[in-house]
Amino acid sequence: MKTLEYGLPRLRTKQLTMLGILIALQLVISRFSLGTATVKVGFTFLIVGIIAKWYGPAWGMLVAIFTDVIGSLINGYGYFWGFTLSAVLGAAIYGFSFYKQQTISWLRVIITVSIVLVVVNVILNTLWVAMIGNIHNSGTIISLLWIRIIKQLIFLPIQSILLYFLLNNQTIEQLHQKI
Amino acid sequence: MFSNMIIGRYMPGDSWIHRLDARTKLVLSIAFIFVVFFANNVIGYALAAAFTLLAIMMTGLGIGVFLRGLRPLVLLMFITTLLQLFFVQTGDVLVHWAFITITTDGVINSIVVFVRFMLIIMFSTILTLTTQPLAVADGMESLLKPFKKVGLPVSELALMLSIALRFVPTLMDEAQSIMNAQRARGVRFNEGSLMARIKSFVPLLIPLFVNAIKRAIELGDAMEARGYRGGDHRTKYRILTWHTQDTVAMIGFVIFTIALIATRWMM
Repeated sequence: MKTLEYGLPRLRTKQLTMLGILIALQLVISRFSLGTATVKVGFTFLIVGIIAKWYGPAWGMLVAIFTDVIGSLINGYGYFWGFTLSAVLGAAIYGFSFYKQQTISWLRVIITVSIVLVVVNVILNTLWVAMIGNIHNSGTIISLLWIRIIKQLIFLPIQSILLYFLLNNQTIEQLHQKI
Repeated sequence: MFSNMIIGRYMPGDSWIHRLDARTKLVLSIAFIFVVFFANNVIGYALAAAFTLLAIMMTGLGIGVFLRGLRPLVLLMFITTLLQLFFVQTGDVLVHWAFITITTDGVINSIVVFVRFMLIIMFSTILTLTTQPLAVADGMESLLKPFKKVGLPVSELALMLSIALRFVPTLMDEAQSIMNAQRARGVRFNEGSLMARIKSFVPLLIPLFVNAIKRAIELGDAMEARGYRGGDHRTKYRILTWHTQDTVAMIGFVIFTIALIATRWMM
């Protein structure tokens, strides 16, 4: 077991520029989505995963705050602090799991994605929607939960497969050695 | 594939709101979200709506632009509103048909949900539409200065955000041209089953990443060649200045907040 530094490591100039460009890439990719209006698959989790792998949980969480705030401002969504908290937590979970892993096994990817989907997307995001909408009614909240659970079950295999192939992509890893 | 929103939807203008300091707009946008939660009756919501409308009028952009900003969230708003309508079972029964019961409280609740969503989104849109993205980054850096003492790398963060905002349009164009290049070679985006669509995304993703890494290396080298040695101990070229109108805006917002809290005891 390697000992890892989980604090904010000082970044070299190229790491700084890389992180800046990754944020830009995340803002760009957040505009892509596949599927129908009811089940929309976004791809931002891929960038969050890459940032987690290269920079660790601390930087990941810090970057998540700003990406969420700026993203909600730029994309014209209303800003709500709860979703920022969700983004930070997601980045932390990915970070602790993927940071400085040479190859990332299927098991690790699936478990991590499951944790993020359950904790962040199902529990927290439903809570935020309920808070914004001032919903105190358990029936409404449970229906919202069910809708989300079904959605996340569809996302789990899709996200796991994409993350596995991207994080273990040799071309990208070799290029990243130069940074 | 691309949603039809323009990134950094800054609309140039010279209104009173446009001329406000980015920091003022940032603080007020975030404060507004917390303040809206003080409203708990019709008068409170009317006041909040009036304040938002006043701010929108002052941008001189026309309300249509703001309504367009609501489009991506319509489905979410619609679902939560409907759910409220069907599940809140207190108050007087209005409609009772088979297993659907709609009550007065249900209707009131769904209106509240809808209005609150609208207000939060509209108010945040004011910031994006009237402020240049770079000014937003500068404003954030300025607001985060106090956190330097806690060890937050504020200048590095601000640099990253400036780089990010600068490269969003470039990467957008790049994504578009990679897509066209792959289309020319026979990749079909937006066709077939969900799995096939996701697979078609990979030939777009990998080149995007590779290009991004190459760009980061080049930019890093170029910055070091120009004498960049870290975030601190540098001077600023773009300087934010605080004007009287920023103070006026702040005072106006405080008055609004006090009035909104006062409405809680009006019903």
